Amino acid sequence: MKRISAQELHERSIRSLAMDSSSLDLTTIEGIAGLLRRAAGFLCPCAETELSDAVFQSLRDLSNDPEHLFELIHTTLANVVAYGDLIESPVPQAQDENSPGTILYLTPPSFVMRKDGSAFLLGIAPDNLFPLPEDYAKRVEVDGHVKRMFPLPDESLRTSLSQFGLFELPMEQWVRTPFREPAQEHVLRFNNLLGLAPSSGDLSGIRIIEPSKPVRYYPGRWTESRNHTGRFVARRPQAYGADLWCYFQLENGHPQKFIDLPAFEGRWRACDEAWRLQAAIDACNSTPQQFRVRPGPTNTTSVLDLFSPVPAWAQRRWDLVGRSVPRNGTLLSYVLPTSAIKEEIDFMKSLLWLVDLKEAG
Amino acid sequence: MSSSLLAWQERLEHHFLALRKQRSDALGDRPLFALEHDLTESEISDLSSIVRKSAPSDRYWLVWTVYATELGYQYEGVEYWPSFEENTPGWALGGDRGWLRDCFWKFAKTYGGARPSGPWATHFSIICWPITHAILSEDLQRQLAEILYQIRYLFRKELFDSPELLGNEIAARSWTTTRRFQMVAEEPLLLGQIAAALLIGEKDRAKSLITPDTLLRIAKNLNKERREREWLKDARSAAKAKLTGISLPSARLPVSSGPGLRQELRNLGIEPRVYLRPTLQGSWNVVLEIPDLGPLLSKFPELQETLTGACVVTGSSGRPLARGRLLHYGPQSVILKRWPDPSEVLLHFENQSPELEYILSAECMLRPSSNWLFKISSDGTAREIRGGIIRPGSRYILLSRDEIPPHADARSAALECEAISATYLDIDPIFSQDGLTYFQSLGLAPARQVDVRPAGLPPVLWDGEGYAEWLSTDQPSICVSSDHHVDAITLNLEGTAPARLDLIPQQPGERIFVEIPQLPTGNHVLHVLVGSAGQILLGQLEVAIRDPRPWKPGLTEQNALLVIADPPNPSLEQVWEGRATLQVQGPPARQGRCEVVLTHDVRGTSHTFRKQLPQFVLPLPPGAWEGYFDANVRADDVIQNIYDAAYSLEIRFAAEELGQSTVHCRREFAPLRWLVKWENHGYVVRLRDDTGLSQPASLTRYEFERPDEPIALQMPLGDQPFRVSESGGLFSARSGDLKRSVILPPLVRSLSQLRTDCVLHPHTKSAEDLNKFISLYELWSSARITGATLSATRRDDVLAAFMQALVHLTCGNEWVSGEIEFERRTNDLATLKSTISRSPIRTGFGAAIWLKRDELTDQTNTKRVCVFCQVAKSYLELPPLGHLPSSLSDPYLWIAEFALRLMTRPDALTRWAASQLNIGLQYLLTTPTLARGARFLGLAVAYSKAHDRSRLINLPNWEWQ
Repeated sequence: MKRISAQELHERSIRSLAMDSSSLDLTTIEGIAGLLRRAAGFLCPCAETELSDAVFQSLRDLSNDPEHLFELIHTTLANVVAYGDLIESPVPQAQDENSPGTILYLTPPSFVMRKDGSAFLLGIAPDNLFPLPEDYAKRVEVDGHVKRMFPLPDESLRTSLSQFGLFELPMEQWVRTPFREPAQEHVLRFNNLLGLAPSSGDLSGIRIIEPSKPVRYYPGRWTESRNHTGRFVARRPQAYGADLWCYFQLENGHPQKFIDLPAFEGRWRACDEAWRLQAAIDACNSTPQQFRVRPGPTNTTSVLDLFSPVPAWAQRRWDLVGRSVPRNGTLLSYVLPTSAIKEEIDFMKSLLWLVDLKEAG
Repeated sequence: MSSSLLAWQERLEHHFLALRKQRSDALGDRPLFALEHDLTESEISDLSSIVRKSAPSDRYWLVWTVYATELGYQYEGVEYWPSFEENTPGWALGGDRGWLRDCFWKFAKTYGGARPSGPWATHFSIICWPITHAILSEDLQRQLAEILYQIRYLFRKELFDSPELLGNEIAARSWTTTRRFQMVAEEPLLLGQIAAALLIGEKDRAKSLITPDTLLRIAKNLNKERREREWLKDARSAAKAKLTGISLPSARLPVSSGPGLRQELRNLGIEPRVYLRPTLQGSWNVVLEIPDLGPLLSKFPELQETLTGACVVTGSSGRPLARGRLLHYGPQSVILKRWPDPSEVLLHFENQSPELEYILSAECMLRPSSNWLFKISSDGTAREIRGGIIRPGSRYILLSRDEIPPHADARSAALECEAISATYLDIDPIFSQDGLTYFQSLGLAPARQVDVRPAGLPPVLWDGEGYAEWLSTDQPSICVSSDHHVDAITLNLEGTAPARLDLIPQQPGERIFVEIPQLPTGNHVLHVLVGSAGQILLGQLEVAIRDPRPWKPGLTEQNALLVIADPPNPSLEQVWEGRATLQVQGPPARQGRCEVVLTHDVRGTSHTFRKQLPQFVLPLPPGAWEGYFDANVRADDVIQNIYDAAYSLEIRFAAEELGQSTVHCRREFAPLRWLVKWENHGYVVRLRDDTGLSQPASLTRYEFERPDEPIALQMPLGDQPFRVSESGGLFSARSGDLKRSVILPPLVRSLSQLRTDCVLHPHTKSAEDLNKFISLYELWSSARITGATLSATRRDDVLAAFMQALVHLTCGNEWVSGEIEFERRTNDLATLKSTISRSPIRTGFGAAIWLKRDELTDQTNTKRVCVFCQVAKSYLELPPLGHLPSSLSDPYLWIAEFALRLMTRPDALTRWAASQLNIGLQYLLTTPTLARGARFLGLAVAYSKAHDRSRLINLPNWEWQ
C-alpha cells in the first residue's frame, strides 16, 4: 500500500483503461467515457442514474467542481448511448411485469466498417474485458466517446475483427435515418395517434417541454405540468428505470391522453423520437430550433454548434464525418470538415427543421 | 518395402524404449503416447506412404500403431474408419480392427503406453486407442487455443504451478466444445500440461508429460492459422506476465467440510445478493441477484452435470430456471415471493448431490441476521448495506423478521414478499440522542467521521459504506478523508497479502489517495485506525476480489437480446426432434432474424446449406420457437432431405445492433449409429459400429402396423449399405449394452397411407404386459427420426397406441373413453375429474388435484410429487407397499412419483425404478384410482396452458431427470 498523488491516480487509472496518460486524465471526455464503459460492464442492465452515480462516486474526490463533473458525466453518457455502446431497452417483463421503465444494456462487442477501411468499435463485453488480443487493443484510437481502429497495410479489418467474434453492424443500419417529411405532417402523425389514445386518468409528476420557452436553452424548457393546456412532449416518472418519454394532451395541467414513445418504430430510442417531434413542434410554432456554424481549429474545419439535443442517428452521422468537441455554451458541438458543412446543413434542415442562428436573428 | 518397414520398426522400438526409461526416471509410471514418436513431418510422410500400401503384419506392429495414431491426429470427429480404409489400400489385404487394437495393447504393455479409460473407452473400444494416443487432434487443438484465449485474464501463478488446476479451469469452460473435447477434459492433468506447455513452455523438460517435440508440433499446428496464432499469442503474453514455473501436480480441491473449504468458496465470489426494487404501486419487490456460478465449476468440475441442470430458487415463484442458466449467461435476477429462512439453501438443483448441498449451504444462503438494511439510491432501488451503517439525511429500508418497535423516524413499507416486513427509516440531517438509541437498538450504527471509499476506477460494486468489490486484474485505489482534525490514520490490510500504511492528514477534509496492491481473489479487510484527541476509533473496509468473467462471442443477461437454449449445448437430434427448447428474449416489438446453416456430407465432401427464415417479432418464447422452427425448417423439403446427411446445424439469431448469437448443434457422437441416406427414391441405411465388440450387432425391425412384434433382420456385414423396403419401420441395432434405433417412414403413394392403424397383440391386465409396453414405448420414443416429417408422425402414432394401452391397463375402459373425448375436444379436462372415482368417499381426490393444478404448473416435478402424495394420502386409503428398500423414507412418496412418471413419460420410468419396477406396476394395477389421479394431474399440468393436445403422449411440461 502506498500513498499516491491525485495526478498519479489519474495516470494509473487512465493506463488501466488502455488510454494515453500523457494526454488524457479521468475528467476528460475520453476518460469519463472509459469509466462509464467500465462501470457498465459490471452494472448493466441498470438504470442510467446507477451508472452515472457509480462514475461520479469514483471521481468526486478528484474534482473541485462536482456540479460540472456531474453534468459532464451525464452528457458523456448520453453520447456513449447515442454512439451505440449501450442500448436503452424496457425492463424485461419476466423480471418485473409492473415496470415499463427503460434501462441500459450492453451492446455486444461489434464494429461498423467505414469506406476508408477503418472501423468504429462499439459495444462492451461483460466486466469490460477487451474482446480482442492485446496487439489490437494498442491500435484503438479514442476521440471523445468514439473508438476507431485503422487497418494495417494489407489488412482487412473486417476479417480481423469478425474472426475474434465481434459482429458487424452494417453502416447503413448504424446511420439509418427516418424518412423526410414536412414538420407539419410529422406533428400531424403524432396528433392523430394521440387522438386515438384512451383517457389517461390521473398521473402525477409529469414534466413537459414548454414550447414557448427559448429554444436555445434546452434545460430551461423543462417544467412541471401545472396549468398547461395543449399537446406536449413530456416525461412521466417510473419507480425503476428511466422516466418514460411520452406525448401528452393536457387540460389545465391535467393529463387527458398520452402515447408512449417511440410510437412509430421500435428501433429508435424514445428520446430520439421525442426530440425530433419537439423540433417539428418548434418549427410549426415558427420558433425553429437553431444551429450555429463557426470557424474550426484549422483552416479546413468548422464547428457545428447545437442548442437542443438531437437523435442518435444525427450524432452518429457527425461521429462519422467529424468529432465531438467540448461544448462552449451549447448542448452539442462537432468539428466537421468545412467541405461537408453544406451537406450537413441540408441534413439538419430537412430532417430536423433546424435553422441557422443567423437566419433566425 | 519390407526392409523399409523393418527399419522404421526398429527405429521406433529404439525410440520408445529410450523414452520409457527417461520418463520412468523422471516421472515414474507416467504413460507414453504413440504420438511421441518425434518424427519430422517428412519422416511421417515417408512412413505413411510405405504403410499405406502394405498388408498389416505383426512384425511391423509399432509402425502401424504410429500410423493409426497419425490418422487419429487428423480425425475431426465424423468418421475414423472410412478415411482410414480409403487412405490405406493395404488394409484390404487382411486388415482387422481387432488386430489394430492388439497393436496398441502391445504398445501399452511394452512401453507403458496410455490405456484409454472411462465410458468413452468402453463404448468406442477400438478407435479410442488411436484417438487417445493422438493426444489432442487438430480440431481439438483449435478449441483449446480458443479457451486459453478466453480465460487469459484468469491466469495466475497457482495455475502454472499446478497443471491440474489449469486443466480444471479449461474443463469448466468446455461446455460449448465438442463432446470429444469434453472427453479429453475428463483428464485435467494432461490437458493442463499441454496448455501450460503451449503457454509458457516447459521449465523442466524431463518432467514433461509429453516430449517437447510433440508439444512443439501441437504449438506449430496452432501457429498455422492466423486466428489461432493470435489467440495463443495473447494467451501466452498474459501467462508470461503471471510468472512461470511448473511443478507436478496438485490435486483438485476435495469436496469436504472445514474452514479451508469455506474460505475457498468465499473466494469464488458466488454469494447471491439481495436488493429491493420499487413497483409502480409504491411497494417493493425483493430481488435476488445470483452471480454466474462458473467459478464453482472450475473448482469442482465433477459438478458439471448437476450445475447444468434445472435449478429452483428458494422463495421464488417456483418455476425452475432453464438448464445451464446459472452458468453461462452472467448474473440472474429473480424476484422472491417469500423471504427464505436464513437456514434455507437458496438454490436447489435437480438431483443435487450431498457435496453440492454442502457447497451451496456454505455460500448460497442469506447472511444470518434478523435485520437487513438497504439504502435507497438515486436510481430508485435499495441496495444492502452489510455493515448496518446509517448516515444522517439518508433513507433506508429495514427488512426484519421481528416486529420493529414504533418510532418517529420509522414507518411501515409495503413489500411484495412474504415472511418478512419492511420499515422505512428516514434519518434526520442530525442524529438526535433518541434517534441514536433507537437505531442502535435495531443493531444499526452511525457512520464514522472518517471516510474510506474507492477512487479512480469505479469498483465492480460499492455499497457506499464499507464493502467494495474489484476484479483480480485491478489495482484498487481509495480515498481517505476526515471532516475534522485527526492526529493519525493507520491502514492495516489483513489477509493473504498483508500491508500497513500510516498517514498524517495535514488538515480536515484533506483527500488522501492510497493505492492498494493487486490482491488475490477472495475477501480482504482493510482496518482503519484513527487517532483523534487521545481516542482511537476503529473502522473497516471489506474488500472483495473476484476474477473477471471470460468473454466469448455471444450474448449474456447483460445484453438486450438473449438466446437461451435448454439444454445449453443441444445436439442436432435434440433440436430436430423438439427435445431441446430455444427462446429469444429482447425488446418487445423489435424484429429478429434467424438463419439456419446445415453442414452435410455429399460423397465424402462437406457442403453447407443456408436458409434465411422469415423475420420474427421479439420476444420468441419456447412455444413460439417450436412453431417457428417447425413451419420454416422441419417442414422444408430441401432441409428434410439434407438432414439425414447433416452433421451440424447452426442457428444464427440477429437483431440489428442488439447483437447476434449462434446456437451450435452437432450430431450426437455415438459408437453405434445409423447413417441414413435418401438415394434413388428410397432410403438406404448403414450401421456404423465403432464399439469394437467381436460379436456383430443384432438387428431387429418393427412395422408401423405391428409395432410390438420384432422381426429379426439380416443385414450385410460391416458398413455395407442396406436398401429399406417401401413400408419403412423402426430399425434397431444392439451391440453389448448399447442400443440405437431409427424410424424410417414409408413411401406414401396415397393419402390413406399418411396415417397408420397400429394393431397391438392382445394384452392382459398384468405387470408383465405393462412392462412389455413400457419397454416398447422406450424403444420407439428414443429412436432417431429422419428429416421427413412422416417419420415423426408415424412414431407418434405408435407411441399413442402404446400409451393408450398403458392407460387402458392401469386406469380402465371408462377412463380411456373420457380421454379420447378430451383429445377430440368434445369434453374438457374437468369432466374427467369425476371419472377418477365413483366412490363418494374418494370424489374429493379429483377435486383436490383440480384445485392444485395452477399452483403446480410452474413447480418442479419434485414439488408436484410431494403435493400429489399428500393429496393421495388425504383422500385415499392407500394399501401398504411391501418389498421396497428400507432406505426409502416414505414409500408412498416413491409410488406417487412412480405413478406420475408412468402416466406422463413412461420412457422416464424404467431406469429410475430399476429393480422395483414390478412392485410399482403391481401396486398400480391394484389401486387404479391412484393411477387415474396421476394421469389426471399429468394432463392438467400439461394442458393448462393450451398446448396442442392432438396426441396425449410425452406430456408437455413434465420433463423428468
